[in-house]
This record gives sequence, structure tokens and C-alpha cells, in this order.
Amino acid sequence: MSWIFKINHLSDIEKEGIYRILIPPSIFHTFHIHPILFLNEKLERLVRFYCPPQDNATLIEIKQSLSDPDSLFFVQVSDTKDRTQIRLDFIIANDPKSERFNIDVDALGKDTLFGRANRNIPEEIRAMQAGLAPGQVRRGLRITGEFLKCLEHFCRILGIKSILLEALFYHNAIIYEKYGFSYFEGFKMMKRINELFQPGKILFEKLDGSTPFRQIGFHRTIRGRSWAIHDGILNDIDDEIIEGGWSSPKMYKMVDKPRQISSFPDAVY
Amino acid sequence: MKKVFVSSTGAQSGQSLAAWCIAEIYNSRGFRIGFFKPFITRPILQNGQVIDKDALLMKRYFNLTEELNILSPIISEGIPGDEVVREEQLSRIEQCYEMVKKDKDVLIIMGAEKIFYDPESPYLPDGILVNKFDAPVVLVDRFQNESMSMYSILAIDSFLKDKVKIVFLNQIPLEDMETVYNKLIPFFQKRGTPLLFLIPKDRILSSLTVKDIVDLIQGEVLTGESRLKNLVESTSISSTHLKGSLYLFRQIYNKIILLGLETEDLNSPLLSPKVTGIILTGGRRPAPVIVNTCGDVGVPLVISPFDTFVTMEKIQKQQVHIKENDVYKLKRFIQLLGGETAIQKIINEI
Repeated sequence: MSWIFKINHLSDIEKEGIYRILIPPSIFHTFHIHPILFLNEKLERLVRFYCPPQDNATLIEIKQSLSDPDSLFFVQVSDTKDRTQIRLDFIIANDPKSERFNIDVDALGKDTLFGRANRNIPEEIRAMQAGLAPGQVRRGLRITGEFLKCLEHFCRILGIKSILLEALFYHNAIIYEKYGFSYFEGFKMMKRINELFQPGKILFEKLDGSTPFRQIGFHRTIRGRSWAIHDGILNDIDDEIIEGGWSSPKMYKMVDKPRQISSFPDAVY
Repeated sequence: MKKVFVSSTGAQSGQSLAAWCIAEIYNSRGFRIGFFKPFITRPILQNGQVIDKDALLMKRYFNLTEELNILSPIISEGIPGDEVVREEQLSRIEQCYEMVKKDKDVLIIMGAEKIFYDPESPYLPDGILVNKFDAPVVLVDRFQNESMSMYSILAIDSFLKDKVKIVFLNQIPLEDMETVYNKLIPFFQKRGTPLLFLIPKDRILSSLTVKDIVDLIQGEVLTGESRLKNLVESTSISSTHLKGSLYLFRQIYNKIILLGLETEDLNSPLLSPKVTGIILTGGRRPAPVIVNTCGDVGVPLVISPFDTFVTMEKIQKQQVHIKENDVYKLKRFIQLLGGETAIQKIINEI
């Protein structure tokens, strides 16, 4: 029996006690949330756990205020068939004080799937100009590293050996590389992307200002490349390895045994 | 006219399904069926009138001509134990009983939620009604453990003076079936009565349909209207269930996956649960590609106006109540009882 499924069978107090390990401690201090009771100063409970006994996934959501549409922290982890692995399904960390960019809804109010199903171009331009990466509706809390430490600690307690995830966007994959993740699938594509963004190569040439997301110089930064890829630049080239455009790489990290992978050496964010 | 009183040892025992099953057994053999449930215990409001859900189900399924306020006449509002109210209730029950039994071959009388005496209960004890109607009893017990079931049955049979003819021991976990069979069946066989039927806990009987869930969460169906009868045994937020083109949904974080059996698989209850529906929470409408993906694979896609936590709370709080559309549950219950052999035994015993 895998760990999440097993923990989900415990009492609410017990499982919340275990799953609180997944919450980066800085969130409690930054947002004045009681770390044990999960209450704010108005005595509202801001942390919610969804971990029913029949499910093999758990979800933790924290909002700054109960009425906020966006979570400041949202994480979902789940079991895999192998009990020595855990899957990080989602991690979202939004700075609630920062400006919101509605890249997640189109002009008709329909969900864009963070711009992957359809796009809200004007909002994406605004987000890009404000320094955000694709998929972000607000500035992040910069707690990915802290969260991954929490997740690894959780894994160590339970004897889980590896963490699996899919990197939705290019910049996610590069960031996870920096935290010691390696690839099950997609490394060849990542390396090829780096090659083709080198001066004189096809992706570099395609950064011609033809859209706001394909500006000259975007090849130099993780964010610039990510916007260009999000804009479909990979679909515009004929390459055996990148056939079919961007495909979320499947990545993993061995707990306490980080890999030193870099598909974009000396990358600048 | 034959009368059968269907009673229960407690709430959520499967009493309504059992009453429907007994009625159907006689109906399928050409008997004219009547139904009477003195007390409204499952109230709903219809056209400004409080009616009973079981009475509504029976009226519609068996095309009963009597009005619902005759089939189930009493809304118990009085103070428990008030003698005047009790007299009035008995008089009204008597009056309605005379009407519902007219031109019937078999009258199914359904008791309140539990047969045990409860001083706080607003209903007349089933025991009084059983004796008043002098009817054989079909008792439904939701299994908890062997000892509790055995002593409940013996106690009830004792105070009803051997009127309990049949017991449906319901919702027995599969892992307990063998022990229950080896302990309880020989005990009651040796004793002579009542006749015991063991009904295992069953995924089909305990399922909701996608439509039930849509109603419950006030959801909007975006695609898959024709598959709303799919069963839902469990829910999950995990993406591990998403295969093939549904893999796209892995990228959506505000989703609940409904798992169960499709209607065409009802005769193959050993099949693994499939994705029988997907709920997108938070009220936001998805991009057309999402809707089309579900449409292509025939999986109902529903938007919930509530977030994941509230949506799940609503689903989990829901208790499974039988409705007239649940004919598949009726068939399944009869199948689990033992089919034709069981039907013959029941008819012989009553």
C-alpha cells in the first residue's frame, strides 16, 4: 500500500499533522498564520487539506483570505504504483500582494489552462513585460527551493526514494534541474532546444520580433526562451528531436542524491 | 389479500430497496401490488405538499392510483408519546389502510426507520403496526458484526412473537461473508425461522450516478449528457486514472475524477473502476479543447460552481437513496439475494 493512500486513512488530526510537513515554514511567518492551528489573526482557518481515505492523492491549499479567488500556496502530491516514489502533481505559489494577470482566462472568461489550451495574448504580454514567466498569474513567492526541502524531508521520514513530476513549461524544467532533478523523458529535447537557441541556429533566427514573445535576445534567458516556446516557436521548425513542439518533460529527483544536470548551462532567469 | 411488513433495525439499512424488491417479486408474478407507508420518513416537497420519497417511487413504478397522501399519510410533528396524537394517527392510518388495500393481492407495508422502541422517536413503534396489521415481517439489518445481527434478530422476533419470517442481512463486507455464512446460517436453520438472506456490500448498490452528483452540486453538464447514468463509486483528485487523451486533464489542478462503472458494464461488476465523469471545480468554463476531449471519449464533463473542497464535501455527505430510476439496483439486489431460487423461497416463506 502506498504512503499517501495509507496516510489518508488516518484521523484528520493525524494526517494534517503529517501533511503540514509539506508547507514551507516561511508561509506561516510571512502571512501571519498560526503554524499549529492554521488560523489567521481573525481566527479564520486558512489552510485546507483534502485527503480522503479512498484517494491516493492529497491537496493542501492556503489562502491569504478565505474570499480570495487565488491560493497563495497550492500543492498536490500523489502515490505512484511504486511505493518508493511520490508524484508532485502541482505546486502553485502566488504572491497575493502582486498584480494579477488574467492569462488563465480568455476574453470569454474560459479557462486557458495557463495558456496551454488557448491564450489571452494581451494579458500574456502584460505578464511578460512585468517579468513573469508563462503560466504565472501573479509573481511567485520564490519558495520552490524551500518547498522541495519540505517534500524531501517528508520523503525521508517515509522512506520514499524519489520524487516524480512533469515540468509544464520550459522554465519549470530548467528550475527543477537546478534543484537536482534529472529526466525520465525529454532530456534530448531540452538539449536540442539549447543547441538551436545558439546564435546562428534556427531557433535563434526565429527570434525575429514577429510576435511580442519572440524578441531578439530572448535566447539568453530562461524566461525569454520559455515565452518563445510557449508562443509555439518549436512548432515552426523542422527538427527530428523536437517533432511535435513542446512536450512536458518527465523528471525525477532521487532524495538526498541530487543530479547535476544542465540543459542550459550558465542560464540567467 | 397478502400483507408484508418491511421493517428495519436502523437507518441506511436498505429498507426501501428491500420493500421495492418484495413488491417487484409479487408484481412480476402478476399480483396486484399495493403500498402503504404510514409515516413519512423520507420527506420531499412536491407542489407545496410534503410527500414521502418511497411512496413516490412505488406509486410511479407500480402505477398506483392512490394519492401520495393516502399511500403515506402522516407527517409526524407531535411530541413523542402524546396519547392524543397517537390516537389520531392510528385513526388516520386505519382510514388510509382501508383505501390502499382495495383491489390488491399483495400489500407492502413499510415501517419507519427502525423497529426498536425509541422514546424520542416521533413515529409509532413498528411493533404496534405489525400487530395491528397482523402481517409477517421482512426485517432488514445493516450488518455490523455477527453478534449484533444475531441478537437484534432474536430480540425483534421475540417481541413480535415469531412474526419475523425473513431477514435480509445487508451490506456485509466481502471479507466477512464466509464467517457470517458459517455462523449465522446454521444457527437460524437449526432454529427454523426466520429465513436468512446474506447480501454482500456491493459497489453497484452503493453507487451514485453522475446525474445524482450533478444535481447535488448544482453542476452544469458541458458534454456527455447521454452518459449521466454512469455509476460513481468513488472520487479522486489524482491524475493516475487519466489515460489516453484524458491525459490532458493532468494539467488541470481544479478537477475531481469520478470513478465507477459505465451503464453497459453493469452486468460485469468485477471490472476495474473507469473514469465515468470529470468535474471541473471553481465554476470556470474550460477551453473548447477540454470539452471536445471529453466529448470524443464519451466522458461526461461537469462544471461545479464550488471549489474542490466544497464540492467534495457535498458529494461525501450525500447518502445513497433509492429512486425510481434505479431499476438496475433493484435487479442487482434480486441477483445478490440469489435470483429465482431466492424469490421462490421468499414467496413460500411469506
